[in-house]
Amino acid sequence: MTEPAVHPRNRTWMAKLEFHLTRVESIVAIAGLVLLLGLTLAEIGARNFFHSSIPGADVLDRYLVLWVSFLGAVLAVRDRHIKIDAVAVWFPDAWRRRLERPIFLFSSVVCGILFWAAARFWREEWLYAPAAERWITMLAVIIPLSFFLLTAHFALRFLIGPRAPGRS
Amino acid sequence: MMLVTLMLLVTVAALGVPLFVVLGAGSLIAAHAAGLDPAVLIVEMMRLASSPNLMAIPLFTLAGVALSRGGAPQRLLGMFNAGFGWMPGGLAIVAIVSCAFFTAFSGASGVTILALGGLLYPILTGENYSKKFSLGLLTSSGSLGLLFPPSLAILLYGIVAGVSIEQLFVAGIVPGVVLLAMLAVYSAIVSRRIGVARRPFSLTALVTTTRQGVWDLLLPVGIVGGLLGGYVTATEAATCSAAYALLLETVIHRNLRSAAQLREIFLETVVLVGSLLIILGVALGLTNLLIDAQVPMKILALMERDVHSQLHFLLLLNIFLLAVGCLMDIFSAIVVVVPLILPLAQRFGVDPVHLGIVFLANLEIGYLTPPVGINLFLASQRFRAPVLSLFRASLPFLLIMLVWLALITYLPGLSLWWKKI
Repeated sequence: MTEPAVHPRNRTWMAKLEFHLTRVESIVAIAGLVLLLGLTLAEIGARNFFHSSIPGADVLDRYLVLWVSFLGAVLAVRDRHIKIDAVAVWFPDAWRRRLERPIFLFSSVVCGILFWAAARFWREEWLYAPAAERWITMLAVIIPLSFFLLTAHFALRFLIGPRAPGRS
Repeated sequence: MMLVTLMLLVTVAALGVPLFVVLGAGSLIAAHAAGLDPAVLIVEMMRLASSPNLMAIPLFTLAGVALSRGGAPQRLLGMFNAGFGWMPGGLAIVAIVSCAFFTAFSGASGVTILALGGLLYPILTGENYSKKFSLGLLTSSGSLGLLFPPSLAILLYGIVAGVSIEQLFVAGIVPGVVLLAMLAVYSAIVSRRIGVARRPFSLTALVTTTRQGVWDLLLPVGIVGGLLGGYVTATEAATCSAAYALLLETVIHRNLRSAAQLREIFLETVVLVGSLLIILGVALGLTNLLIDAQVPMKILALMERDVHSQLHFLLLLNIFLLAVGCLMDIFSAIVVVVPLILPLAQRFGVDPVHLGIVFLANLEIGYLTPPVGINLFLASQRFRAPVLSLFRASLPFLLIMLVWLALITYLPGLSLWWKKI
């Protein structure tokens, strides 16, 4: 059996960087979801069988949802985001591929500005957080981090270029 | 200036920019126009971390993905076929009930048509149902279970509107069953007219298929029972559902055995949830800015001039939401539109739970209407048929759904019966 041919665009350093980033992000996101399920189950068990609760689990659960969701949003960059492409769906495939680069650039710029706002907000929170609550602020780092990753992924997609013809 | 910005944003959205980016750009522009630091948007986004019900979304999604990858659609189909297949219009009823169940626990993301449509279409046409009827039935069945627990659309509405998810789950049951009954009656009439032969009932087949499918059936029954009885909260029900679905597929049915399959399920869940919740996060900032700018109040002031009764308001609401359903997908519509119409509905005395059911029913119909009715596109992809011919095939079903919409809008008791118990 012959190996499937690798498209030249997938051999560039940008494509490799995107691949490795996606791999790390998916590992962290999956681990977050497994932990969320395990923790919520343990809480139900502790509450019903031992009439007690796991300290800090409630806060950790809520932030785990943010980690899972925002990393999921990063992983959805390659054509899994919800769109209202009421006009674009009627375009021929070649036109839609031509639109991809400007869309990725626009998305990268918007996410970049949101990253800048999120990073400043998080820094302020970190500086003024009481020592006992620093761990919660640390968990909230996912917001600026995910906007940074979204900016990077959209920028990489912009540089790598449109998907191969016929791929959706 | 505001109008130009809005038109630009609508244009980029129509060209295919991800919705969360469009909302993010809109929020940044609105914050700039109000002279506010864009960090206010992040403050609102952080509110996601204080919503205890939010946890239910990834966990119910995990349950749905695990069941659909583990073969639940086939098991349910076999069981309902043995249970209802002998009735007049039996196979069409099987399609309706199976699709409704599958949509409810697969999160109403449109996968029903892809998962069940391909299985059901050859069976329906093989039993003499016309191509047009079969395509119309399967295209419209793709969103039927939207009002049944644990539908993600209900969860999201509850979170955005601040309404009890338990009450919404209960409120959706009767309207959902009424729609299934109306479609089943229509299918029985069509089947009698075209002379589809009835099949004999087989107890052996029912017992065999029930042994396989009963575990899947227990999930929605358990959720409703647990919530109605007050034994579990929505979040606990979601946790138990996810654990149950994984146990079912890995230990009982053993359809998911490799680590790679489990990894795929978790990854699919993460991406589905991510694409949904980032919209919610970004929209929280935008809707807060719109509320600060008193946009709902201004709309209310405009409406109060011409609208004087609850019935009149509900009629306008239906027309508006049907138009929204034609243009936006259900999750985006919930996140963007609900905060704007909720104060208006409360002003006209509409119960927020009833509003939720009416809202979701309108958008369920929107799945079938061009230009962005997702069911039309998925069915077009699945059955290799043009969107317009699918729309024509779905028209009788669409008309039935419009009658149903009128019923549940103007008879609030169908959604709120439990309040009188």
